[in-house]
This record gives sequence, C-alpha cells and structure tokens, in this order.
Amino acid sequence: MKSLLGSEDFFKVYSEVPLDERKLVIVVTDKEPISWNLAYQEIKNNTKRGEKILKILKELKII
Amino acid sequence: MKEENELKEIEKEIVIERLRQTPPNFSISLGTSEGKFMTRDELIGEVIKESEIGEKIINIQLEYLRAFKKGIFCVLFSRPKHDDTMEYLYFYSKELLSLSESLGLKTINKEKEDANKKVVSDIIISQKPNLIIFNGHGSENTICGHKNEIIVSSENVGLLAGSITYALACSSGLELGKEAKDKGAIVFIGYKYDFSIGRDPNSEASPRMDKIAKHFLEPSNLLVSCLLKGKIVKEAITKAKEKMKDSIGYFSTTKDFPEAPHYAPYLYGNYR
Repeated sequence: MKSLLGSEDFFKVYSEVPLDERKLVIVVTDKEPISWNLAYQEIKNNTKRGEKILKILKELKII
Repeated sequence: MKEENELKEIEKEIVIERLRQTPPNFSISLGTSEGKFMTRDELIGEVIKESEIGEKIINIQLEYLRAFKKGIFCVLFSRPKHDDTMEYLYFYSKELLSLSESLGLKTINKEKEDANKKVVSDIIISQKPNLIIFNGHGSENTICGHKNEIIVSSENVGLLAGSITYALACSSGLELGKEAKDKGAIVFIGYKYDFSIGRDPNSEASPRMDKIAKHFLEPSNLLVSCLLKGKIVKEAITKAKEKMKDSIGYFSTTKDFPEAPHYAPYLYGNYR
C-alpha cells in the first residue's frame, strides 16, 4: 500500500516527540482535536483524515 | 494553500484545545501579564479574544510544536569511569540514561574513553543538546572527563550557550557556572564546594550494594530526572535539596550503623 505524501516527515518528527507530549493535541480537524498518537495511527493507516492532518501540519510548518 | 487568516484560525483552535488539556490548577505568569499569574481558563479567554497575551500564547505553543522538527529535545551525558568515584557516578547515571530514552528524548551517551574533550565538544557543537549532564572531577574553573582531561574550562565555556548544564563535579558551580551564564548558558547547575560520596565498607566497592553512597547520589539523580521530565530547574533543585536534607537527618539520627553521623557533614557539604 502506498503511504501518504509527507508521512515520512511526520514519522521523523514524531520520533523526536516525548511520550507525554504525544498524548496532547497537535491538530484540530472537523472540530475534533487530534493528539500526536491519534495522528500517527491515522497517517499510518493511510486514512482520509490522515491526509488532512498531514496537509495542516505541513502548512503550519510543524513537519 | 490556505490564506494567512485561515491558518491563524487553525493555530488558535489547536492552542485552545491544548490549553483545555492543561490541569485546571495550572497557572503561569508571562512577561506581558503584568506580573500576574494566569489560570488555564484565563489563558483560553485571552486566546479566544486574540489579545496581546493570547497572541503570545499562540506563538509560544506553535514555536514549541515546530521545535520537534529540529530534534530539539536532546540530552547529552558525559560519563567517565576511570576511577572509583567515577565508577559510582557511572553506575548511578545508568538509570538516568534509561529514563531519558524511555521518555522518548534524543539521548546521546559518551562514556569511558569517549567522555573526552574532542568527542564531547564536537557533539555539543553539532547537536546543540538542550540538557548536558557531566559526571567528572572538577574545580572552580573546569569540568573533566576521561582520565581527568579538561572538557570545559574558561576558554571554551561558550560551548554551553543555549543549554541547561548539570555538572556533577566538584566546585564547578563557583566560577565556571557564572562564566557559562555570562556566555549564554540558559542555566548552569553545579556544586559550590567539593562533591562528596560516602562509601559503605561492606559493599566491596560495588555501587549497587552500597547503602551509604545512595544517600549521596540519589538526590543528584532526582534533580536530573526532574529536568528530564520537563520540570522547571528551581523545582528540580528544591526536590534534590529536600532529599539531601532527609538523608542528612537520617545520618544524624540512625542507629543502623555506628559511623552514620560522621557522613552527615559531608552530605551537608553537597547541600550548601
């Protein structure tokens, strides 16, 4: 399965994030707060939401 | 590509949600809050109305999130092991290394012969660690590494600029600490006087079995573990000092072993 565009950038940053921080919100999509951990799952599973998350994180220069 | 004000709204939403995750008793004073401590809900209010403080909070939070991209949370340990004292420090810092790794921090360990001036300086220059932990012998103006090679002295103390440094080394808190601050170190934590470690004669020089050394070294470990967990420096020092005070009290009063009261003055020397 092809991975989402930008997912490598996310995984690289994610690996630098301390464990407690990973529980905190990193992005809000469709009014729903998403933690680093949830974002990781969405991106890893190539979901539509994962795609949205990556786009926002790129635009905010977080990844 | 989103418009600038659209991105601003997204940033605002993220920061509000992050603040909502903060415990309700959280309180903080910002430079622009006129000396007043603000609660979580007050901070959220400021972000919602986009006041000067609100803008500042958004910037702080976003800069923090962007910092991970630079791999900013990096910890460097310098751990020589060439004599009995260093062996004790080496042993006790093992658990700090594990803690640092388990917290997901980028952890660089330079030990034994790698705890030398060239290797450690190169790492500091290339990786810019946020937290540097030195085990070593020291003096008012130096921190040493493997076989007492001077790693940091007045001539290169600028290396520590931008970092929090903890030197488990004698006397380095006196002059070197001040020089480090002058050259841009965020914080330098060191000891003003000799750092002493008592040793249990029945432990056969094994740090693991030593019931006396632990009272000297656990406060230091507590300090570092607080820093690794992101506690503020003042809190880390306070906790370490409280633990030292408890041990001084223990040495002064225990009947567990007859030489105990004789250790108390040395631990007090670390405490000062």
